[in-house]
Amino acid sequence: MINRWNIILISICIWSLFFIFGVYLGQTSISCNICIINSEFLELNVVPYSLDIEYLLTNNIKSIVLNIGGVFIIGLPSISNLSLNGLIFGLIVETSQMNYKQIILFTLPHGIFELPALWLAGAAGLKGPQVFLRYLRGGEFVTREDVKEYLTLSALSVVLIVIAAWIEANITPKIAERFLQ
Amino acid sequence: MIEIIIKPKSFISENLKHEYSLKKPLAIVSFISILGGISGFLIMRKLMENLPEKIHTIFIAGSGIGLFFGILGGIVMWAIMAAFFHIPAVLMGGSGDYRKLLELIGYAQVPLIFSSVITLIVIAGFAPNLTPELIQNRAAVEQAFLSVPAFKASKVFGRLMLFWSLYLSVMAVREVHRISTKKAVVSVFIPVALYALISEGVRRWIGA
Repeated sequence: MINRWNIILISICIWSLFFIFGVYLGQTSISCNICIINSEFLELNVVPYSLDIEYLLTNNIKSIVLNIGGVFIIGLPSISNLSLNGLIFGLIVETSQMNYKQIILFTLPHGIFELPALWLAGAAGLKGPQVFLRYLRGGEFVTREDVKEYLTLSALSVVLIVIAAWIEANITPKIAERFLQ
Repeated sequence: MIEIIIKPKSFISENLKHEYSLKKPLAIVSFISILGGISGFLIMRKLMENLPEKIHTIFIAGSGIGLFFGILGGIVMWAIMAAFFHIPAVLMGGSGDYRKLLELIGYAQVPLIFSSVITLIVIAGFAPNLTPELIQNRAAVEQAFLSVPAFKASKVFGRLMLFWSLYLSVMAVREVHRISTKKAVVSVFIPVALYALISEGVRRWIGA
């Protein structure tokens, strides 16, 4: 039986696995022109980075909604979004011009909220395959407990992502500035 | 399993006597997705021949990820399709079990194995004619394919296999839910028509 902690763990594992894979890909293609990889070749459509809270919030919420909404398509969008997110972050970490200290300074303050938000939203999406597999094994389809868990995970992830966006817009730049001086 | 092709009615009736088991249908659906993945891989490999060596690592990785999500997508589509056939059937008075229907809808995909194999053979034979210059132009790739009679024939064959698969699905819905053929046809073709309309709309909208 997959309990709520396990689906959170699976969500983290999917993201981490693709993060490691992204780092590996970044290493093997380090001398490639990253612009080709990002925008022309893989058509990842790298968006212009902005520290505007509205922009950050919109983008983060989109990702969270995709993860949460994945529950209705047996978790497929959640799994692919978690994978893509991990993969891109791994690629960026490995191929960016920054050193590890800089990367940590630029990502840690909001990352400690953003990543759990993403993982929790992923776990909410993974409730879909969890419930479906349980049903196929002869269990109940959707219980009140499932709905409660799904809503809790979704609400938590939204709260965390809002905090992350606020920190990314207001705190991260200041911390990074101070430490990098 | 071949009985679903030769004697579909007796296969379904016999199958309904047993507890549902999804292993074989899962294998069928996964196999079709793998064949589709290999076809895509062959096309992409040819189109990317001229790209730098280092990009090939990304290409292989991308193909692996694509195959994984292709299989996952195929399985999810199978489950969703069965659900979309199940809901109208229930609304029209059907009383069957979704899991049993899911199993039989999986078996109903068997004709698609034939069309996938044929498509793969045609693509494997035709891929050498593709040139890496076409990578920038999706419409040109499609045009290049349509200019080959074998590909056109395989497309027609694919459609026939799809209709055969839908016919088997109608039988599955009718037998599982114990409803009339007319109701079973409606249960299957309404979701399929909606899906075709929506996907065509999306295709035009994104200009693909």
